[in-house]
Amino acid sequence: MKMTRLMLGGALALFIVGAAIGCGSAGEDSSSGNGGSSGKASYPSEDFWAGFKEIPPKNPPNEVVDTAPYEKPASKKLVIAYADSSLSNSWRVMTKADTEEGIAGVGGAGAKLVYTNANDSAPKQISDMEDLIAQHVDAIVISAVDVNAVCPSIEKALDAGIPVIVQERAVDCENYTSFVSLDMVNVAENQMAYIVDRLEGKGEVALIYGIPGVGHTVQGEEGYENVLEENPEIDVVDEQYAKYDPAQAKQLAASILVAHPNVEAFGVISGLMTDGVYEAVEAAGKVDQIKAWDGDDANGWMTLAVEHDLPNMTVPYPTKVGSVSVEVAVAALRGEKVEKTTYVPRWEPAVEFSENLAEFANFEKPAEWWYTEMSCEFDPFCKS
Amino acid sequence: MADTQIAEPVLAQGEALERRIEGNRVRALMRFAGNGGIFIVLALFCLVAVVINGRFLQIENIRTILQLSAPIAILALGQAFVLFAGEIDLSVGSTVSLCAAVLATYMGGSDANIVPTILLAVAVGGLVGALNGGFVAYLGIPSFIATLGTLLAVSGGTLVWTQGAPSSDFAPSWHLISSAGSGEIPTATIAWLLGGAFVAWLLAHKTAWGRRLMLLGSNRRASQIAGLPVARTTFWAFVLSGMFAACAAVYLTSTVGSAQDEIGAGRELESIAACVLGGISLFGGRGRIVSALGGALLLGGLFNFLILQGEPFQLQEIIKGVVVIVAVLGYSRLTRTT
Repeated sequence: MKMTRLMLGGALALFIVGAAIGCGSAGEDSSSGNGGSSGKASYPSEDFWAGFKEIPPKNPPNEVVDTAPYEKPASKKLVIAYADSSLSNSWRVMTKADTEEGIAGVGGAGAKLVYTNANDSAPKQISDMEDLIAQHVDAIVISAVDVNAVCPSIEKALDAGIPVIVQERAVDCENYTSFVSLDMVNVAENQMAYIVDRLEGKGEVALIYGIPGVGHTVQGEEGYENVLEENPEIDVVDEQYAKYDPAQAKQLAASILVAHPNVEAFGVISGLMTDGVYEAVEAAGKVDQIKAWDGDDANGWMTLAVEHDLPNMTVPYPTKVGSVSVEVAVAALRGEKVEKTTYVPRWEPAVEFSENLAEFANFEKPAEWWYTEMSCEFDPFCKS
Repeated sequence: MADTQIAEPVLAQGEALERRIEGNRVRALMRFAGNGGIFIVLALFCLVAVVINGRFLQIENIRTILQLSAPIAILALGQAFVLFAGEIDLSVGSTVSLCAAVLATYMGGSDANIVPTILLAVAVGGLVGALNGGFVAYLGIPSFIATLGTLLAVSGGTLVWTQGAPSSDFAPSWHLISSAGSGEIPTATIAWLLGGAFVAWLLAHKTAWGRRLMLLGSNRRASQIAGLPVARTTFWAFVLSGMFAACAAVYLTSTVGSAQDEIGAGRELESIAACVLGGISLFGGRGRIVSALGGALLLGGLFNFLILQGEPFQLQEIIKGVVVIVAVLGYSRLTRTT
């Protein structure tokens, strides 16, 4: 028995130490991450955007929604529900925090938040909506798990006199009160247009999306397609879904680079995945071969781009969509003017944002942080 | 009537003989897989893959396959202990997520903290395993139910603790744990695979505990009658499964330097599929633990081949499911013949 225990303990220690020895073996230089050498001072080393014309958001004229049926007395403390799709990535985490800050900032009698999390399950979200309707909340902000599945629930909420604000992820139905949009189609159009520009209209490109059927991915696909159909000499060699997971994105990119060694750009619809792709490209020794990168205001991506001085189109995807959604919900409940689509302004236009990335990237914050103007009280990545 | 009375027993004997032959075939297949045949299958698969796609055995692709297979292998090695005992551990995926959060939260951005934080994560993994072991071995809850409950509880608990936002203050050298190599050769990953297999082999096949584990998996009732410490043996199988899950978390977080809550999602099926491919019986008491490594490499190679061929990543989920279903069907036919 004693010998068995000794062997067990020794064997486990051997395993752990053996794995940890991987740290000390002859190795590559440090790759991506918050450490490493600094290209920060020299970013950007050249004008990576010379001659590129940004595609402006369309922001078409909007109908004004009749909010009179939803008006609540000014003395009422509002109960606003947030039917979240999940907390599966850091953008969602920060958007939830921004929503909470928005709730805290509601004037007058104030507001209370009721939060549900569907864990990326459409049936769960339908069930969440049923619960919220039964609780007679004053308004619902919903981040839809699926473009179609929640439409009947939205209809039911509206019939119950509850305004529904669709946040960020589009739904495939028209019966909601307002859609608070980050215009992901335009984000993706600019990302792909920049890739086409850097490749001078010709070359091999691989595309990496998020989760099939989710609004952000569906709009990203649409945006890429809008540009690609006008540039037939861009050869899309592979399209994969990495579920916003940098580890999966890395695996996929590594395999794609073997299958298609002449790839010159990756179209990646979220900066959450771009740093995984970069690690695969770096491991393959092909950083110089990739002529264009794209991303958003995820800190892991921003610090990477600045540190390695990458030619990039970084289009902000502000997490302040959370507090804006609350503002729209409150406006509906106060009987104020609400537009059918509310466009959340970006921190800066895409080209300016990309040029000034070194000002937005924060090397003191973790990779999961997203650029924000949120107060430290609500920012989950703020160490007080 | 007389003809029927003669024919029925003959027919019944014929059916019994057919089932025995089928059972012998299945048993032969399992013996083949469990005795290292999986490595022959792996070699054949590589041969076929390289004929179809010449890039399959390029050095950079081999590196990719090894890095894809490593977390599956580490989890499968831990799962194998539980399968040997005739049980199953569905909580390994959520244990990976929990341990990843522990690593992300406590490393504090310092290389000096690497080893203590790894030990902490392994301890946490072991605790989850101990919980499972307690439920199954001492409270008599079926392992499918107990570990399913743990999966949900640990997954929910991790989300409540981190609120989806673990601090990812990893050490500057953290990525070297999985990516260190000599030129093109991924030394660290190979160390993980061989080191993990060696430790698991030692524990499963060279210790008295390991021999007891196989015995109780083969025949629990006989083991109890013989006075073997069945509960304690089962308990430690689950503890080891949890500890190996923690090691998988170390490897995974090292590959990307972050610890998303979903990092372990779905990996329990991968670990089971790898064990099954390696000839480890789902009903206990059969198999060689090193074959789990072969199963993991085959799965990793298959997944990589699909991407090389431009197939959608989601096919991997179909393959995992098919492997498990085919294995369960095979084993259920085997038990009907015995």
